[in-house]
Amino acid sequence: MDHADQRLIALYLEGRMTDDEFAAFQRRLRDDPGIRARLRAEANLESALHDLTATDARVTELWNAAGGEADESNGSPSRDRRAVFRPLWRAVAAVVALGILTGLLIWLNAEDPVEHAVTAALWDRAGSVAVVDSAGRLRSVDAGVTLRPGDKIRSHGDNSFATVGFTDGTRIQLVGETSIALSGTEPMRFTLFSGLITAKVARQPDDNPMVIETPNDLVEVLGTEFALETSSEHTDIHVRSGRVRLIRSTDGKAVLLSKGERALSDVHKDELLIKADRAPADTWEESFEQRLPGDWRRGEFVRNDLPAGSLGGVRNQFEPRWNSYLIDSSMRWIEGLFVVHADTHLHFTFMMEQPGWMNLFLLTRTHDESNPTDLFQYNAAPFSSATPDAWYMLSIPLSQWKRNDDQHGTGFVGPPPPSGDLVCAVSWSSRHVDRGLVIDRVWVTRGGPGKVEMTPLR
Amino acid sequence: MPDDPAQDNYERFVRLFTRHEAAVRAFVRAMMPRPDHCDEIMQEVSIVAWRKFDDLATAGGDEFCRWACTIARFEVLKHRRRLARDRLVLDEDVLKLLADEALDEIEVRSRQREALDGCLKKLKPAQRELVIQAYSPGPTISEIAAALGKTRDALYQALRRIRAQLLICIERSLERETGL
Repeated sequence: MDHADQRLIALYLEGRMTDDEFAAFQRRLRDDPGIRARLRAEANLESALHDLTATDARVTELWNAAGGEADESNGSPSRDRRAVFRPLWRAVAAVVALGILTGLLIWLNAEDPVEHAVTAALWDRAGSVAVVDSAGRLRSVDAGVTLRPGDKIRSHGDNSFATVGFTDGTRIQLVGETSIALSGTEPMRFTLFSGLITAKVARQPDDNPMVIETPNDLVEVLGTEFALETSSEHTDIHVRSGRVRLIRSTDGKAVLLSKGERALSDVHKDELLIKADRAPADTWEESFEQRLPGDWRRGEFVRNDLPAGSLGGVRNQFEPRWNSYLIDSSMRWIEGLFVVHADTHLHFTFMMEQPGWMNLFLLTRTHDESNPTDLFQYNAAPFSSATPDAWYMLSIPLSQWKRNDDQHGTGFVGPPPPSGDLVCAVSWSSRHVDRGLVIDRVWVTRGGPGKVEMTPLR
Repeated sequence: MPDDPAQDNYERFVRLFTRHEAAVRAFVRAMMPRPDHCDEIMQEVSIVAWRKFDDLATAGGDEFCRWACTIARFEVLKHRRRLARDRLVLDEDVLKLLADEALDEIEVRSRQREALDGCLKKLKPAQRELVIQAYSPGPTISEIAAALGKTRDALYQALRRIRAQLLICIERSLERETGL
């Protein structure tokens, strides 16, 4: 294998060949089994690198710390970038906010105020966030960096967020796997490609509202607070105050939403559904009797070898990208699965084919605008003492969970979820080893044993 | 206890497919390196494989992988016909050569993938960090290069050197372990 052949293979896999190079490459492939074998070996390596690094991405981005997945053989977690940066970002954000406030006071006191153009800036971020300009170049993600029309802002991983602030006081927060593009600042206009934003929008001119485009809808905002979630198939908007108009692009159907109202535009449904706002639930239950709920993100529905009388359960599912075996509940950012109280307990009935270490995670929505999500871990040591294939009930007070708070490089050592926070997702996870975890039922109550309790099912 | 043969069959299929998905994906990637093409083909492979799964009623895991790769070979060729006018799409005769030879290499490629983890650990920390950045979902090569203050070409060169190093390490690991 000479250098020229290696170069051709590399260029081909990188997708960067000229037409002449490609013609030469095809000739070499026809003539030489050696270069064909080398191409397959390199493609195999590329594919495996994507799989393996996605595992690392899972560790550093989704769960935000390798400590969350520390196993028996290696209990040393990696550092949590988010927690390390958090105090710095808060300080910088405070300085930026102070600067804006000072500017505002100067403007208010000026005898002859000048019309200032509204500009946008990245105010804060945590986890994995990228800003790319219209030419595809990566831009700085330093707090305070000015954003320009055409910039795309992307937060990557469930526990990441980015806050975009405008000089009129409007604030847009991207949460989790979300990407937006800023189209303009006067009028304010941007595209939400997918994911979830929360927004506090300063009063806009009646004839020039802020406009948000989603894949299938337009949202006009005059000044309000709301949460907006979108995918290629739906737009879900929840208005906390003020008024917002949702317009479906395909047929022009529109609905005006007021405080406490929620609308769902779905490409498979004719009507724009409006739901009344509901108080967050104190309890939660899934029993998987007929099927795995459609929005559960990972897990296989099973019908066999369940406790007496049960018709269905969920088994952990291998996720090759992260080399992990997972059961992931639905992600309910807007309404939450349940609200945290001091006496909240999570219970589930389970069986394991290979008992051993596992982790449980809770993703929560906080009331802290500078830190909208938190991740909590419970290292489920009791699993290790289970008998293979036997059924148990495990009860865990939420006070036993620990926040990812890795300022000292020690992983999940923070306090438990505070009362009032919303739990948006629950996950069970083991890396590398298929524990064969099957859950028959999971439920949340107020009150319980007040300690971790695992009892065999009869 | 309820016993639903169709459900059991489906669960068995999902387990086999997820276990061998990486091998099938690597097989496809040699012929269709663009990730979006690869994803489209893998989606078709999973649908066709499930539809024909009854044909494989008695097969074990190893047979499943080879069977799924045979389906993938067909789907690659089908996809290629749709892309015939695109740039950097190999001619059908070249794809057939690559695919037919790859079917005999499934086991060794699988061992190579298993050896990779150990070889990554032998890289220098900066090299490993670069690999993680370059192959993780998210930023493009251009974005990473800009962030590191390098040119895109310089970054590609650095990654080529690392890949060559990894391939040598993998070959040596297999020689030591299996005498291959």
